[in-house]
Amino acid sequence: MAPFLEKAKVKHKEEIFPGLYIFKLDSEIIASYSQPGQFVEADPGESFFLRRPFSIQEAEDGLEILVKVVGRGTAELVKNETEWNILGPLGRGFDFQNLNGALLIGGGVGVAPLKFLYKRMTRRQYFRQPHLGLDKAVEQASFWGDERTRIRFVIGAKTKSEIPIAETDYIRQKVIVSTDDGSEGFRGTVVDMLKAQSKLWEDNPKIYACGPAPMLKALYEFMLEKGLDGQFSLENRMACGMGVCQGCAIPMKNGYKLVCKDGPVFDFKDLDERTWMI
Amino acid sequence: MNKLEVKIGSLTLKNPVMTASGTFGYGDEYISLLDISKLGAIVTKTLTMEPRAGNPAPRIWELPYGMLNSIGLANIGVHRFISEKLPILRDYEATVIANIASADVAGYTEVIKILENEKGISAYELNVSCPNVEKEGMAFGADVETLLEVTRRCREAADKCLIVKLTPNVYDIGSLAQAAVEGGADALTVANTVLGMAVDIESRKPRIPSALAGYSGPGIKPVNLAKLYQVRKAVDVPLIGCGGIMNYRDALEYMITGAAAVQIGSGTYKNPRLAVEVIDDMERYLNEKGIDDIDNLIGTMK
Ligand SMILES: Cc1cc2nc3c(=O)[nH]c(=O)nc-3n(C[C@H](O)[C@H](O)[C@H](O)COP(=O)(O)OP(=O)(O)OC[C@H]3O[C@@H](n4cnc5c(N)ncnc54)[C@H](O)[C@@H]3O)c2cc1C
Ligand SMILES: Cc1cc2nc3c(=O)[nH]c(=O)nc-3n(C[C@H](O)[C@H](O)[C@H](O)COP(=O)(O)O)c2cc1C
Ligand code: FES
Repeated sequence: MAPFLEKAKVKHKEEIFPGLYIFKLDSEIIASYSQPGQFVEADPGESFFLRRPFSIQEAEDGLEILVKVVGRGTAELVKNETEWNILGPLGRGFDFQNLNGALLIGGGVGVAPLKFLYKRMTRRQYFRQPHLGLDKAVEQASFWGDERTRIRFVIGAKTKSEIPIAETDYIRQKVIVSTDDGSEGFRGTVVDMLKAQSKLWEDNPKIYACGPAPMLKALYEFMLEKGLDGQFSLENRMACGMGVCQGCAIPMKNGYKLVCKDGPVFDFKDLDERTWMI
Repeated sequence: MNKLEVKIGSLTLKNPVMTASGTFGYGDEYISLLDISKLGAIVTKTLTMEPRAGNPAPRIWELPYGMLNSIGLANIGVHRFISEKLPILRDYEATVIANIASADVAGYTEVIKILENEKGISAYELNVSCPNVEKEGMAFGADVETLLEVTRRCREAADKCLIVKLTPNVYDIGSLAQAAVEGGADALTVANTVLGMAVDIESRKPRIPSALAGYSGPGIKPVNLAKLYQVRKAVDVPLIGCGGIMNYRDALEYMITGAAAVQIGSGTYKNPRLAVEVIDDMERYLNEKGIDDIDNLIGTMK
């Protein structure tokens, strides 16, 4: 029964590009309960009144978190190389049972929860195909899936140097990339790419998306137009992170929902025009 | 003997540390994080007769010494509280104080009548910081006549211990405290959030859509502590200090000033275990100082 509080030692810290960090935290209990789409709340330290929410990017060997420095709290957190005070796992994650094709769409740091989802999805695929032989399958198809499973991963970034996954990884794993300036992959936003490349979604995959609000709004409108379905992971400012304060409510089709407890993952059909107004 | 035991009117609490309304949900949310039976009491989120969806988003804004909120009393309503939450709280042997509110005077007593026969509720706390529709939206707790009226009506309806939670957003809090006591309050909580506001200089919009919001956290401790001091001089009933408590030292400031108990509010968001830590630290403090009963500390300011 979650959530839990943990003092998690920093095992590894890496700056992927200026202002974007990967942290590997030595978590036992939170990691073991984490599901893709869930998040943790980290305490930036004494001079901050509230915690900061971060998606879980990986929970296999401790917890992996992707942190983009956007303000004082994140700037303080990335300086902490000893022990993080974290609360989690929090929120409702993605549903990925009975998949018949999936298209994962991540913008910027929105890639984090999708990376975890992709890994779990393709691990499930592996277990469904025991004839593939364990180690080899994990190593080759790895967590990035392949065409047979019809699980595809699309990520959008401003420019090549800001792709939040190591280059060796996204090339090896056949992640489909779009950059606003065309410095890598498709030139334009991920939604521009979907418009240009209908083969990505023609077979009606379930769409899983996380990213900045303007990207999600554009994707929402695109999906409405094309009749696509899926789930979005949303953000809002948070205080408690566990459904207590009612502070993170956003308007949805059936009234206010709490991003921290009813979400952060919401079904596409519950989203509404008003969801994007805050 | 339990050194930390305190009395709030007819109610005996195992220790003076409660969780404040709206900052600890309905209590059951915290079961994986702490032993909720250890708390002096859990004050529930404000309960209203009907469920409430709450105010437009965004509802919160962080500040250097606290936060602003305008939640709009979003809650599941008294009936769902009784059917879904209260049985869990009873199972875990929590001491529960039901915080209640309404848009009109009669509404308060209706909620009390529904709760009056429920086992597992030890007291009521009236949230009188909310707008009164019968008085152009002026807070019940900002007007002597209205506060007297609402407290008196609730007193008639309630056998259980009755606590009135004052708003600090008044000039003469002493007169309001006297009105609540005259109306029959057994104890007073001092106090709710302080009126506050913040503006985004880029968009020139207020950070909270309604502009005015409730300020909580360490920034308000000196304000609410001063209010408690004023209330202490005005009335003789037990007081419960609330506002900006972040550790046992803050709690003891309230108690030395005259509070018989304290409430831990939005400090819980960062540290969900804050209330139990305050209890443990308080006990340690008493042991270190050789004080064998917390009553010997309450109101001993020199
Ligand atoms: C469920 C969830 C998952 C998230 N996952 C990640 C993640 O994996 N990696 C990551 O780098 N960031 C993630 N975020 C965003 C991250 O929480 C914020 O960037 C962080 O709280 C900003 O703190 P700050 O003190 O640095 O910024 P502030 O100084 O408080 O604000 C700077 C900017 O950040 C924005 N911001 C502040 N708080 C939040 C918030 N709670 N949510 C969204 N935006 C906010 C503000 O609008 C402002 O533009 C997530 C947010 C949520 C709600
Ligand atoms: C998000 C939030 C919601 C609150 N909701 C309620 C409420 O429903 N009823 C109430 O009487 N007080 C409510 N309060 C006020 C607190 O109970 C407390 O009086 C106030 O926050 C001051 O204490 P603090 O500084 O320790 O937080 C709320 C406070 C916050 C921050
Ligand atoms: S952050 Fe408190 S309810 Fe969501």
